Amino acid sequence: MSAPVAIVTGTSRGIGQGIAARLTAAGTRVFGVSRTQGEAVQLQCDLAKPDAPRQVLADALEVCGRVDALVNNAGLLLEGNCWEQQEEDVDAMVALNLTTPFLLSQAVAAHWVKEGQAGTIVNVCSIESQVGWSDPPQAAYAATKGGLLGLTRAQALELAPHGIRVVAVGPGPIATGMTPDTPELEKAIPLGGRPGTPEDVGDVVAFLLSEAARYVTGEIVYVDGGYLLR
Amino acid sequence: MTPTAMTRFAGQRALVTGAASGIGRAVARRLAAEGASVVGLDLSRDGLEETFDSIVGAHHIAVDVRSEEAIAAVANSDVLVNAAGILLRHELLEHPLDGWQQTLDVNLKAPLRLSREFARAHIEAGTPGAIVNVCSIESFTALPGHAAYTASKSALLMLTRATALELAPHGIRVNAVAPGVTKTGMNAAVRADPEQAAALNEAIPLKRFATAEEQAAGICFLASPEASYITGATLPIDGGWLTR
Repeated sequence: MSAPVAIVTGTSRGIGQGIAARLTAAGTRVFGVSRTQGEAVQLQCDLAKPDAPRQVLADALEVCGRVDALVNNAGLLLEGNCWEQQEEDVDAMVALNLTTPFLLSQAVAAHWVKEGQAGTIVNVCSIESQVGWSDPPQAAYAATKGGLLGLTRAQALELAPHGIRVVAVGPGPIATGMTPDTPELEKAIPLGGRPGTPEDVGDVVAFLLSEAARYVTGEIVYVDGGYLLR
Repeated sequence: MTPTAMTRFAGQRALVTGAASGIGRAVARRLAAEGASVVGLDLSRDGLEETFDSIVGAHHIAVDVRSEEAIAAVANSDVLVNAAGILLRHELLEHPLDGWQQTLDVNLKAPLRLSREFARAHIEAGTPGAIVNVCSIESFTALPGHAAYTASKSALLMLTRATALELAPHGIRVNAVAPGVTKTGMNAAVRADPEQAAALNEAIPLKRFATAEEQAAGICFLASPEASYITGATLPIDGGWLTR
């Protein structure tokens, strides 16, 4: 059998790039999708466009011949006080953080069911699927990540009879070059006092996609250095 | 009801969405009974009229909770209860996009928008306030055919926690209830089917469905000064569903 294929969204940088690197190292062929160009990007497209999910699946099948896994990683964080944030920002986050995973998972799962094939979906949630973050404020983002965890559970329950597992990871603060590593942040992280790396998340995603996680579905694994313990 | 309980909302203004039926109606009536001046929002004018029939001092506006009119109505309120919600049943693989979006619009974006306007008005005026969101046991768990509902109610749970965190410095409390199966129009068809009703009852440790009034009791407690040190909490009112 040829190498397993994973569609991973948002691979041009940050966590998505780390996931792509770790999956590739584990022998998975990654079909990376991102709006911007990058080393791990095979398809450039705006995932928030309504027809994008179908196009992603079709292109992945054409290029790789098969699809075994989907990692819904692409996400958008727009900060703002909950009493000030504009409608367009909320809409953009709901579209990319919730509706895109819904549609892309639906397309890929329907393909698996049609082919009688098993598969695994990993949704990249956040510690904000569980707790709020107020500095800087981002309540609407937290709501979308809470929704993505709910979607994970709903998908897991309904797709289990088809042999499809759906799981989530919940990264804490990750050093992606976007978040500054401050002393306050270091104090907030019990494990080593450092923010996580994209590879820390990528290793957990690789585990969840692997045969070793075959009895795990509907669950979230927080990759946060113990942040949620405090 | 004790005399103190009956006046918990004296002199307060409350806005309740989804007030034409079910949990929203029960909340609107109870808030009014406890002294609040209540504004009810809903799409159904007839339903609102029935809710507020014989209640003095209440008024209602028949509007979509997503509309600008609804937003304008929230600024004057001391209490906001986001009870409007929809449940569209679709199998995941056949779930239409418009049903998904409609669910997110009503169950997530409307509370988000109303909370924003409520908070903005209170922060500007320097006054405290209380928001109660109606989540669901499906903020914690899943039921088949409810993908959009589950996602929207899970999102509302996190909206509750995150807005509670952001608004706490301004004296605005945000809490939620997580109802289990409650006797409302939303699940009337399911409850009317003896087989489905029996299976659902079997899943509930208290072996019965909740009444809308039981949900209203929890919502009004969280909105009241009795809950003055509670914020960001989600109270399951589910007959023990989540214990299993």
